[in-house]
Amino acid sequence: MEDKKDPVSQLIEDYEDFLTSSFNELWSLVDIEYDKLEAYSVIGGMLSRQVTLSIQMVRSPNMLNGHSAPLFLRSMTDLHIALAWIMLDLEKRSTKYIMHGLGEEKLSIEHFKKGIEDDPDNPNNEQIEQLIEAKSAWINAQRRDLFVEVDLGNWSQLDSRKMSQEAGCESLYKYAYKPFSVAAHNMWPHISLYNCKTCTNPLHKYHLLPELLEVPPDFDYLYRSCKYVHKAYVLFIDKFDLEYKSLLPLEWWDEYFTEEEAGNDSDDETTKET
Amino acid sequence: MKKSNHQGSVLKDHKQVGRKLIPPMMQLPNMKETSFRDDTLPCLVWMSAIFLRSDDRKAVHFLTEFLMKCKDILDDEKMPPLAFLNNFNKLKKEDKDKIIKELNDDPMLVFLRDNLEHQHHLLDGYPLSFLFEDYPYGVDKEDALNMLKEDVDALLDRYTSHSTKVQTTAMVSMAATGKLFFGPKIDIPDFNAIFTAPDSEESNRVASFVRCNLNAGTGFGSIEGGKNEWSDSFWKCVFLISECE
Repeated sequence: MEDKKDPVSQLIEDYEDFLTSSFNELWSLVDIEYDKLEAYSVIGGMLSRQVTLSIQMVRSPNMLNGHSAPLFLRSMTDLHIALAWIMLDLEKRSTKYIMHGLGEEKLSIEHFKKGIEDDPDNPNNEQIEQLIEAKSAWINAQRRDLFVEVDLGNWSQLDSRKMSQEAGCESLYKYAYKPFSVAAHNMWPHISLYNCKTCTNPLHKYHLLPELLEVPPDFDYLYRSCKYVHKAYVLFIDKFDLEYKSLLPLEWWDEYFTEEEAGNDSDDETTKET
Repeated sequence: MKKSNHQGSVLKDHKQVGRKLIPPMMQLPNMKETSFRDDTLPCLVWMSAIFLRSDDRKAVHFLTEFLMKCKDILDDEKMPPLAFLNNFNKLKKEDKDKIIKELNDDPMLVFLRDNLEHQHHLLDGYPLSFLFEDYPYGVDKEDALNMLKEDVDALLDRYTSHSTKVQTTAMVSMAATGKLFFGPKIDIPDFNAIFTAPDSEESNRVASFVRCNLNAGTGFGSIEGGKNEWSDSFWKCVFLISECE
């Protein structure tokens, strides 16, 4: 007799399979333009990142809670805003994105070099030198580091709010990016609720004490992650007018859980009949 | 509404100053923040104990009678309002001796001792300790601590019925002892409403009127429940005598 998987294990497997196949199908529909290779590398990589994050979430059901899931979802909303903004001027903005990344790495290398100079006896220096070498090779494979500018500001010269306004996704910024940022940046609204308990002694003015709180898992976080992948897919479909035939992530989600409910109902009926 | 000085679609009533949006109340000139919990509560905690463990009529009667008697005994117009506990620490030893001498054998003294002995037992530098000199009392420390917790807990939210009774009694006693005067144009609410019709509109008016007046007084400093040494020492003491729960 075949072992029936528990519903969570089944969901992990099915969701990951769906994301993998749908991602491959979607990307296969994109016609890469020979003269905009870097731009397609950027948006393709970002799409992959979005799908990867969602896969990582479903593989780790224990982190689908208020402590951990917002870290992923903040990253996913941030990615969506950046992707949507880049899509509006693909070549120019993807170049900015790349150049800023190169500059960041160049600066990072200089900090490591200075670290070695300041502490020549550090036993980790050999490892650090290897790291510098690897990073330099990464930069130089794309652009000679002599010609890499270091931009100390935001890569887009805009903050996320303005990017979301320009890209028509301000509501995502207001209702998802900002709330998830509170957790990602360890701000007081998150810390006070998720990492503290109230001392019930009135003589202590009900101050808060640090507490290692257990919070229950909530699959709504996975649903949100699925939604952000869905939104990324829609960006690609609309931008490149793709004839994508399979289910979109949210359609898959609805169908999956509708079928599951129907399956449960039919099980109930069978039980009744027997 | 005043025209906004920023482009945002929300918080239009706030004024943008640099990267900050300042709420209307904080735009008022001379605004000063005070803390009822940190500064005023320890000054009124004795009244809280009395209202918690005796009926309202008796509590109001003995509290106002005691404060009026103190005023008569001391006969000094410069005396700060004694409704605020910290002001007893401003009295000289002979003033306190006079009060205790006058109150001797008065049922009011028995009433005060019965209701406040747990505070006297626990609190360092308790301003009413002079009432307990040569008075043998027996109170279990654990029981005393629980009672003190109740006194404080009941007053931490200044909007409750209990807190309103305490604050109103403090304010009325100030008026009765000549420490607070209302101008003829001020529409004074009926203070009895908080006892006789606690759910009425008039009661809400009283509560608001009292909080407002106490806030105004607090802004003038330690005399009327503003920042003061007793409150600091109170919170330090109660933090140290009890554990986190």
